[in-house]
Amino acid sequence: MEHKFQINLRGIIDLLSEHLYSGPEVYVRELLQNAVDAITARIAIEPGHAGEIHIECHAPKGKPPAIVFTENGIGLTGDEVHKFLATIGLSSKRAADGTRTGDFIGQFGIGILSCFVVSEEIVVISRSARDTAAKPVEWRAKGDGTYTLKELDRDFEAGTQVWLTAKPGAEDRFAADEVKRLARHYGGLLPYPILVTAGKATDTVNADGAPWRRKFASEKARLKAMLEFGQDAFDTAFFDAIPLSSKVGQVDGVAYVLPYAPALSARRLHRVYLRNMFLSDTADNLLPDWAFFVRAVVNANDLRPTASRESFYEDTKLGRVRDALGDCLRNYLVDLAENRPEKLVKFIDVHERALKALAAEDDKFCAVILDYLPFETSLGRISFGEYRKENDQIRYVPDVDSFRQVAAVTAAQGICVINAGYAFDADILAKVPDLIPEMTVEVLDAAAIAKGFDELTDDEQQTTEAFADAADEVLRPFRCRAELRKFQPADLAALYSTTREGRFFRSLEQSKEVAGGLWSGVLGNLGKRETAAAGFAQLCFNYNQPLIRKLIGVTDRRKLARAIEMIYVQALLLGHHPLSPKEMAVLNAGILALIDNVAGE
Amino acid sequence: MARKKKEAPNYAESVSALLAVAGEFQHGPGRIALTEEAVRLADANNDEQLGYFARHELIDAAIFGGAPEVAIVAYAWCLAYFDKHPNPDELDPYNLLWKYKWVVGHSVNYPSIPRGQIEELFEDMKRRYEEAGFGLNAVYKVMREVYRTMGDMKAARAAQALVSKTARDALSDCAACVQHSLMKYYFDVGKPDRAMQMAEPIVEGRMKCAEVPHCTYGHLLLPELFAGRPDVAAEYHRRGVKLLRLQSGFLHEASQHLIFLAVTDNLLPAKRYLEKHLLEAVTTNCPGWQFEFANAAAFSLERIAQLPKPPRIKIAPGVVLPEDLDATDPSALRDHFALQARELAILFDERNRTKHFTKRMKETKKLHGRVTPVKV
Repeated sequence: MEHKFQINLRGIIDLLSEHLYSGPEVYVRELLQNAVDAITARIAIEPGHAGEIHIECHAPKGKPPAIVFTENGIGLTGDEVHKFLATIGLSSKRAADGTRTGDFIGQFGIGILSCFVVSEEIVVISRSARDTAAKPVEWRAKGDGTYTLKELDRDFEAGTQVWLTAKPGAEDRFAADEVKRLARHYGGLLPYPILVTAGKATDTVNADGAPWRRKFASEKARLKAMLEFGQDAFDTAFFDAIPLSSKVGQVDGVAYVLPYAPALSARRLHRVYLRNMFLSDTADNLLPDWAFFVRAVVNANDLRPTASRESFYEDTKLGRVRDALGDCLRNYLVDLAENRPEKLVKFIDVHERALKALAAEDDKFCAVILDYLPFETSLGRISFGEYRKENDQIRYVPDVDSFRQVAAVTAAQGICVINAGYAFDADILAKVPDLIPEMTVEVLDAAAIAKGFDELTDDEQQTTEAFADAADEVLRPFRCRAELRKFQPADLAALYSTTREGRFFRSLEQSKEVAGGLWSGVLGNLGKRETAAAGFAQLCFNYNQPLIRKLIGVTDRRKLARAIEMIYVQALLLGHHPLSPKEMAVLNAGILALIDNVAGE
Repeated sequence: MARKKKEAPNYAESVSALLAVAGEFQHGPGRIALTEEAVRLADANNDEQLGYFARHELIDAAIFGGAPEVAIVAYAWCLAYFDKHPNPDELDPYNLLWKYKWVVGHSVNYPSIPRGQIEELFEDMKRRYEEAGFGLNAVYKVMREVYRTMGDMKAARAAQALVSKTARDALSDCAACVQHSLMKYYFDVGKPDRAMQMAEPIVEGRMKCAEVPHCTYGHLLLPELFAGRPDVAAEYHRRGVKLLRLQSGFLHEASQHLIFLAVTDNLLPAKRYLEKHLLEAVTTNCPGWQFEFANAAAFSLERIAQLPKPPRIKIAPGVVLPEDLDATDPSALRDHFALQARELAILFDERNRTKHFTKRMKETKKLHGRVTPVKV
């Protein structure tokens, strides 16, 4: 025979309170949600009906505090109470014919049961607006899973009233100030009033509604109200407020510009409302990735929440909403660039990286904003606009290490080189030839710069041949090649330059020297690549340097070798490259020889 | 030494400052370079412990930023330092063991590392996991992925049997990654329905992590397209491309999107997409990714070259290709990549002792006969 599961309501409630809901305060959210759904359903059969929610807070002396929550929505008949209030997992919202589930917020049929987390008993009095002949019904449910239902012989307006009495430990949740705060938090944007009565005073907690929907006497007043709302929502004094809207998804709201540069890796969390009911403070998929400089408050009438209700469901529609909201932010920035450049400069001071991220992604935007973007160069930090006034060619080095290698040399030669080692810089610079056809772009590294140094004359080459050969031979075990050129600054003996590959092989050797058998073998094989030839560094000796000139005349191969090794090690140290044990030994031997020389005199 | 420790050393502050700045960046070459700089600074001051922790950051940056070989090299150093350290518990052994999975998982992308050596790494990894009191679930999963990538499906199945027999523990991957890798596994062992079932919670946004769903969509494009759901495929393409847009280290996935654009007859978008990824493709030192891109590029360039008026390919600054190659000519560039793919396929197949890579190239070529126009 067939059996039915026995469900222990007490156990379910414990589960709910411990896992499903973020905290006991969500009982207010669930009550509000039920109310919103009920009012929506009533407006569907009675267009023009004015919804209202009223919460009375009672604090009788010597007794636990209580709450009476009243709304003038669709109401329930006795049958509906059995079906919807007392069946877990079935919600009237799903069963109602002809309405899409998307029209309702609560989809789990557990809404009202969340009240058991704060109250031992739930009393619901309801009268259906659909069935005018029906009498009001009273449903009394206890946390142990039993309930009674009876018809009432008294007058009752169509709608639903919920009575709760605080459990021991839940008293604070019923305090009038807390109830007001929660009602405003969850229902602050609702288009009909939420009244809260405590003692003799009644307040409308959502009187202001959404600031972006209100009319203001001036732009200044509007901005002030928006920023105050942002301060209240995120506890942050924002830099600016940008209106957001999207037809798709029926979205409206505001994006707040952070007054500081957030970490790129930080999660971007936004506050979202669904059909004007608070949904989550942790929505992270609402805005495009590059929009990490804002936090948004947004209401959507036509998006689906995820099951965990933390965010919106990822679908095509959400993608289109994201594009539309991205356009709002983009238009704001373009407007700054075109009409309020001083503000843009301030904006860039804080959000340089965000703007670069967007510029890297979006060509049109890049064209508008490019001249304002700052870059680090060998002549200091300047904006692109300033750079191109002085240069018709862009020269950049792709990483910080190469920049350090070349900055001293290029500065001595009066060449302005951009350090594109920071996020997005190289991506943006690569677009320049398309945006400004008369400009060309050259990617430099130390080796390329060394190539541009003056070559020696034929005579000079002849006299230095022996030196060059000796240097090549000495440096080969260090995976380094020797070159001899003339360059500025003249006091620099040699320029050590390496590529990404060269650096890789340096660290590979370094690891191999310490690694055990198996790993040493793995690294050995990893280094066995066809491209390994490219992994040679280069030491470019400066023929302009007097000491190098002297060395060229030295004929003692042993002494010459030692000097070359020392110049090599010095060039490494100047470039802040850590020395391998082998190079360290060279340095030590060199110093000892020097001391020996001094002592011998 | 003792004196050195007393005064707060200035370089240590610089190292943490560099790491902090690097941490603010999206993953990619910039973040790697800054982190390498931090390692260099620690090394230059002979501070091995700091060098160890800076290398841990470098391993992260390199794995997620598209330079696994840099991570492998740094990892070997860390392991050696860990082994000789008198008190290795100070060195966050859990973290070190966790990263072993990445390193071994990526070793398969370098054909110069012999298969036998990779299998020795499995053994070393097992030993270290067991000695630290962990189970082997995570090791078997890495083995399955390595064999799957090699195309040795028999070994992959055997490893999967072990995965399902062992309990998950703290070193097992996150649920989203496990789900994603099972999807790939089922595709490769010829169970596409099961694979798409695995993908469901990921594409619906119920499971995600740092790499999922970014890298999931690419695998679903052709299966969805050829299962008669071109709209779904196009949607996955749009989503995937967006997620990958500002990230490095997803060249494999970008290659899948490139093939999709070409096979759906979106040849101008395909051309732009190829141009966009050319720099990463020619600078990556990972032969596994080079193969993926070369294979996809050869296929799409072949199609682009067949256009009545083939457009010139735009070569971004910094892209270095052989000097005698007219890279702007789609046919010439196609030949270049076709040759590269073929050479790499041979290297991989020799190392793997399979015919998998050659077979995959043939499968891509067959797509010329399955062109299905779709609006993206």
